[in-house]
Amino acid sequence: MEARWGDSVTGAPELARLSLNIAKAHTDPGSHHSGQRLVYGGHTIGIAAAQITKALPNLVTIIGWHHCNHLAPVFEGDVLRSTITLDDSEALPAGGGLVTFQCNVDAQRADGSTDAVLDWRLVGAMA
Amino acid sequence: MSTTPATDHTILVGGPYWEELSVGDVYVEFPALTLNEGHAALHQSIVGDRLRLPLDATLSQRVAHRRLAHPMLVCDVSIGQSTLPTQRVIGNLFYRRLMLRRLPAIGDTLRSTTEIVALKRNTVKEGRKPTGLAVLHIVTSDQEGRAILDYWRCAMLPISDLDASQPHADDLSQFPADLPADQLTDCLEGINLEAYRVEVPGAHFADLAVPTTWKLDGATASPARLSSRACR
Repeated sequence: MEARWGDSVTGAPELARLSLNIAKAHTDPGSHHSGQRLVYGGHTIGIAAAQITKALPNLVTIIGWHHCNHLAPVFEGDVLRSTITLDDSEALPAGGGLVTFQCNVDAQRADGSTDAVLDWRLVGAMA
Repeated sequence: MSTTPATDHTILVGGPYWEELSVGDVYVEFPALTLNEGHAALHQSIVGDRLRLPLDATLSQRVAHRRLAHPMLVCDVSIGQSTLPTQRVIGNLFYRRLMLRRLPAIGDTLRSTTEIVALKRNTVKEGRKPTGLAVLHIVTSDQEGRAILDYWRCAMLPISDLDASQPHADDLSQFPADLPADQLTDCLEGINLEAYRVEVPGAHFADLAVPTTWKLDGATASPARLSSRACR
């Protein structure tokens, strides 16, 4: 088993509230059959984006998502780990270029098990 | 639709069940939000992002001539503003064509409209509560009416009254996954990538190899050393 650095998911209801998200699943544990609050999907994506900026500190911005599939729910306390592949690039006439990443995220659960939780393909810009 | 009279004096507040949605319903009454430094700081504290432009006001001013907000903060607010019809959401299945048309700045005000554009009742499974899928078309603009985001989100919602639900079976594959290639650079208009390259040390576009895979292992990758390139 490969030991890799992860980010703990914390502050999940706070991010939902900050972004005006009123889906009950993110704040009320009784609304999901697990009895746990579901972490808002953009929270997982935000941590994945942060892990991309650790791999590529000079990413200028994220532009868009080709696809973004949530493969399993994420819960507070899960530890997220990304594998990021730069698999396409396109130079721009004035310098710099577009970069396309595939980002796959695993969640390590409280019981030690691990599930794939995110399949994200995104486009960003580099200078 | 999102409020149900229970008695003469009591109104239950909550979102619609799937069978209460109709294609063509438009939700416009969600609060607008002016992005401020507090939103940026709280967002950064929760996801830990390190994109330089939203972190560095001086660099952002030089490169973008404004104090850029983090693109994920913008996406999160837009998605949050689309939750009026999905307060009872069980899960989100997909997003399609989610692409920034412009990079908003701190001080910009985001508002969103959300339209129900497709519905599909899921097959009822023995012992499981019935559910349906709803595809939402979300359009987010700023205080000047400039387009910021325009995308689809697919949410799964519970069905409260199966007998009252319609057997909608819209084709959900009609929402294309690929971003329009000719519009990908629209949000870079006015962004001076050369200034970024000059100001920021380390690897830039020309230094990348395709493909490259990164697995995070406890440190920021490839720290820029004081090389001739870093010193310019």
